[in-house]
Amino acid sequence: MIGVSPVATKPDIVPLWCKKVSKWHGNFLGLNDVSLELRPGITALLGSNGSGKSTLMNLIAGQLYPDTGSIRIFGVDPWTWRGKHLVGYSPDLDYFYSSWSINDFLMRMACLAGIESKKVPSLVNEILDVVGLLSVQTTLLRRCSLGMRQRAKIAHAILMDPPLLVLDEPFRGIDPVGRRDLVQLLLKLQSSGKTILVSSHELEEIEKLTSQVVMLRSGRVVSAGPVSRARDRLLNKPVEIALEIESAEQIRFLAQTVFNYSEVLGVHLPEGKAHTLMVLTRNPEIVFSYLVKISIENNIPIRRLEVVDEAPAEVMESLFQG
Amino acid sequence: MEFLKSFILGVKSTLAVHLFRAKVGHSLFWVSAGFLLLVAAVVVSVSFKNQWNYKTLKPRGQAGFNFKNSIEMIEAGSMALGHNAGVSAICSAVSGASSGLLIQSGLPVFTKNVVFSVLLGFLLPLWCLTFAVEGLGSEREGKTLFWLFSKPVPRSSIYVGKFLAILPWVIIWSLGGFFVLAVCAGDSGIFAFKLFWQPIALASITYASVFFFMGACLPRASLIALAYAFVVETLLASITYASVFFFMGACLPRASLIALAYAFVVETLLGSMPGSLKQLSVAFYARCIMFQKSSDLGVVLEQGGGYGDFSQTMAICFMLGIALMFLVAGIFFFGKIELRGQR
Amino acid sequence: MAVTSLNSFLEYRPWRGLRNPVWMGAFAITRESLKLIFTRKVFWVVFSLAVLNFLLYFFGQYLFFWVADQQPDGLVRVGGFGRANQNDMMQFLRSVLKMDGSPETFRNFINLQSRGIIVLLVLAGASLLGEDLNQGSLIFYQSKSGGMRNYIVGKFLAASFLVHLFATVPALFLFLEICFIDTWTYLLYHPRLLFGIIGYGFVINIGLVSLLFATVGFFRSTIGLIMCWAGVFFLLPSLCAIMIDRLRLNPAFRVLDFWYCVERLGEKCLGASPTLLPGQTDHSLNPWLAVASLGFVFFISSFLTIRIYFKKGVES
Repeated sequence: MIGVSPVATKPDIVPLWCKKVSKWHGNFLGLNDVSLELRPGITALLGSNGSGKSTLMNLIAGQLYPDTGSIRIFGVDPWTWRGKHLVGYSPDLDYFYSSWSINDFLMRMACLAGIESKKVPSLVNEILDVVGLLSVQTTLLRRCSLGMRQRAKIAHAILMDPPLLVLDEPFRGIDPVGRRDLVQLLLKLQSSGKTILVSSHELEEIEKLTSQVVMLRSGRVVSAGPVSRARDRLLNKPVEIALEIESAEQIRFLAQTVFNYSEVLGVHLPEGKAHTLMVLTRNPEIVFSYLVKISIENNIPIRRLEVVDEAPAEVMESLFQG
Repeated sequence: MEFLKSFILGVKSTLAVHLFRAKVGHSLFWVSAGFLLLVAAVVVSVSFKNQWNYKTLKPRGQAGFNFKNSIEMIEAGSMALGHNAGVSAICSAVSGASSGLLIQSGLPVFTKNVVFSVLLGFLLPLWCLTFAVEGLGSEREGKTLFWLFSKPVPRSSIYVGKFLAILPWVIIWSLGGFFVLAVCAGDSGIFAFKLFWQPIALASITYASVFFFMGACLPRASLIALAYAFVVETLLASITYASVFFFMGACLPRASLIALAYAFVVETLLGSMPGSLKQLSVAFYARCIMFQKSSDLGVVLEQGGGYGDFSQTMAICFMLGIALMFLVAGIFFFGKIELRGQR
Repeated sequence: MAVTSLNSFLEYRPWRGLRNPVWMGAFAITRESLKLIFTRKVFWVVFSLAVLNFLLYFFGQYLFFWVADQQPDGLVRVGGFGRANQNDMMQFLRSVLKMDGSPETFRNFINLQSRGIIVLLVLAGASLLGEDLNQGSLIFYQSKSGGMRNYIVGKFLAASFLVHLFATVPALFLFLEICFIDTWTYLLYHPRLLFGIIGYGFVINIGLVSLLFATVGFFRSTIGLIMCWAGVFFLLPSLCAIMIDRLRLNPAFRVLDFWYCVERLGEKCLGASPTLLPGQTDHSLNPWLAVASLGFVFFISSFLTIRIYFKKGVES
């Protein structure tokens, strides 16, 4: 089973298991009673600035210790040195050993991790090739662009081949081509059985990666699971359905007919789109059936029928505005 | 067993990566080098004038005559009493022996004026601080501790490995600096180096342990600096350079400042305080060892000061104990560090 | 012109008012720098110690002149504790504490205050100059019309204000105190003291502040700055004491002790008689050598300041 679920299973069989985790930063509660499990696959961690994403990621990566609750990665506490074998973390920080080159950095990190010195050069070359830094490996880190440093961080995260990858803002500073390559890389890692938790504000890329999201707000989990489940939680917010038909002359007739149904809250015809009708409703499944029925009865071919605002951006905005 | 294997692996790998990677060219290093050159220049000028002896110094309680004058008077007396062979012979023997003693009096003069005061009181803590605080302190300030903490080895091994990586630099710099000063002083200095290199090395290891701990584990200098300053201020009636420099640490969250303040306040100030206060400084125990070593040769370096109260063995044990205590404390506190606000 | 044409669109009003001359921007920098220093706790701690020192001298002098004013019967009632010999008290205040309004009084007072000035200048250097160099904010000053000239002048004035706040102004208050509690003719009989106080303050100002600019610019880090100043104000005097007082080398070596040279010049300004400190055996450094030492430090510091701030300031 791929995805996120509430904590119900034993901690040693899931990649990530968090139970009632809270973390204080002085007087400020950074994370409040967070419980969740991650299954193999890619999960996105979304939230506005200051919602606790980095705190949660630091806790999972064993850089912080929870004030209450516990975190386990395949049953092992990530704070301990044993737990560090199981998680690869690419943090949001941008501090490096500036006088080292990319190659030096990875070689020395590999040595520090205890990898046999004979195997280090070949391993590092392989990883540099995977992240696309092979041709620039001798560049000093202080001279690298932000994108190169991001890739270096990801390379560091996969150095020990851990089963869980935690990537904090991996797309930040990367150009569109680089982002596409990174998406491909993450999908490849997913297909090799890794569990990946990725946070980002680049929601287009997140949409390409996964439909499983964990949404944080003010240190609490407001939603965990498919985006649609999050969407369903917004009971008070109507859904907008876009209907595109072949013949623009019949659009007004369609609008008048569908408006008669009680489940339809409103209709409107967007400017510049003569073939499109937008229908507002809280019960999209029922309205779908009405629309289909009307189109069949009146011989109105439908080009497109979809719910418009189920993208993470809109859901996020809705959730966080509340 | 698994922990031990990982610990050894962690120490070995940290040592392998960081042993020769100490940041040599940072500003503290150049300041230390500058101080060494300055003191060496002074020592050379004293050597040039052949002043590493008691000739121009006055006997205690005497006004007007220095030792050289006293010997000249004895020689003059010997010549004046030439008609009395016995007395003249005695005077000649005394003046000859005294002249010989004066010529060889470089050790106490060099030790008291350079080793005890300038080297142990100012230069050695500074040299040790130069490398030791930067060991993990630079990682803290540069926010690169994460790269160490993310490794699958115990944090204690990282701490110990980093400490062992900076230790050779500390010892080389301390002994090397002492050797340079000793060579500049000529025979007296070289004799002093041969006699005192062990306590200097031991003191530098102890300082390294203390300053390494400060660099690794102290996130904010302010509270500790205030506490130190309060202690110092209640002990002293007036402001001194070292204690007011120490106030500086109150406003700047740098572990290096605490270390600097410790070096100047505890080591320099308390090291010259009466009674048992000076036993708080590492330099005191180094001086005890030197005192005992020179006493074995019949040379009393300093009257009073309490340096004769501790045997060499006791002083060595104290210094090693301090070093070990800070090492253990460092391992404990370093293991508890959480990385916050790294952005 | 563009603003005027866009008035109705943007609803902006054109800027009205008089522009000050460009050089007055330096005062704004001075003002803001001092505000920054005044927000630091360390400043108030050092300031309170300086005030304590001032009060000690203030009341010490007051006591001296009050005792001198008593009936010459030899005894002075001391609170409820009994009586003290008038001559003994005056002798103590004059010879031991030197709180008798003499040039030595002002010399000792300013020397003591100078220790606080040294600490404060390190704080000021780190806060006002070091932070700008380390954080790369010099570019904001360089982009203004006054440029680095206003920056240097502004910061120099701020540091000078601190020097005079601690040394010259309280010393002048002490001088004024004597004029009130003794006689106004004190001013007529001791004009050299008045100018000497100002001169000594000026010497400290020039020497220390120029050294500060150079050392902050060179080291940029607070640690390096403190170590350098520890070397100048601690190591050099120790070395000179070893060479001259213990090993009886040529007293001219004292020229290496920068702070000693400043104090010697201050003594000359005030007309105070040289006093040996405990352990000192010689106090005969030629004042012109002291001037040369101060001049050398000032020249080198100015050169470094111009080179660092005007040429390399914005380089990382």
